[in-house]
Amino acid sequence: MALIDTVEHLKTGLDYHLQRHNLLASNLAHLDTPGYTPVDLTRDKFEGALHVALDTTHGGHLAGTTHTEQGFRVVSDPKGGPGGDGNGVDLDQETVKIASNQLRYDMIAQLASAELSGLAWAANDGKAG
Amino acid sequence: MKTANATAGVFSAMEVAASGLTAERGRMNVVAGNLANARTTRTAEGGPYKRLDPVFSAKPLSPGTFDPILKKVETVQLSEVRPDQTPGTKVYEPGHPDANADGYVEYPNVNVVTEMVNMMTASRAYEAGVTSIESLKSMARAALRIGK
Repeated sequence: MALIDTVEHLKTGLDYHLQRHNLLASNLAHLDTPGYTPVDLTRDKFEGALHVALDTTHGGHLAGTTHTEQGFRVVSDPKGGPGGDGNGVDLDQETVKIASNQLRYDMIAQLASAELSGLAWAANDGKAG
Repeated sequence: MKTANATAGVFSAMEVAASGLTAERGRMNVVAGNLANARTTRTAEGGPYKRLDPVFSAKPLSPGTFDPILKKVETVQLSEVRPDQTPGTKVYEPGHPDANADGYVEYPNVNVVTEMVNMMTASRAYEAGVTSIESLKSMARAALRIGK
């Protein structure tokens, strides 16, 4: 296991939340599109993104460096009941999803930055950082 | 996506708050419909418009959880919109096309003042929901600052 591996795993989490943000933003864009069903992004192996770091360190299901096959899945969101025009986007649910997705992104970003500063500290002989 | 929350936390609270926002916005729609139809004497069912009452119900956020706190956390949903069956006011207007044989027109049982009060409560409740989401976000950001 290489030194930078933990950060690589966290990168998968960041990727997931970035891509999910894109999907959620497109849901908001389709707030008034008749017949539109909102979409969401799921990952098969974790429910909260913070599990990425835990799962991948001892599991064989996610290769730390192959980010093209991340196992993200776009699903239509079953939660939103369609309105009169068949549009299932719920403004409040989507905005809250975007906010919590951003918070999770921030958390992982902070973990990654702490991880990197730990490495920098070690590389500096424990003197700086 | 249905996120399975293991314990009650910031994100479960945000889901609950979001359900409140949705419900209050639905209530606002019902109130707007009542106000718009305050003088409607013709409906598809026949007779004057009947004012609608939003019915909220509680729904557990994660019914299958084992966490004792999360088990009690409930989201809200606008489960039903029920017509209010109280009779409307009858006004003597013999020239009105919807007047009955005695010359009386039955107007909807919508009281504009009641609807305005409902509208204000809905809007305040919505604002309260937004405020709780904002404070949850600042709590999470404060937690992120702990490590710094």
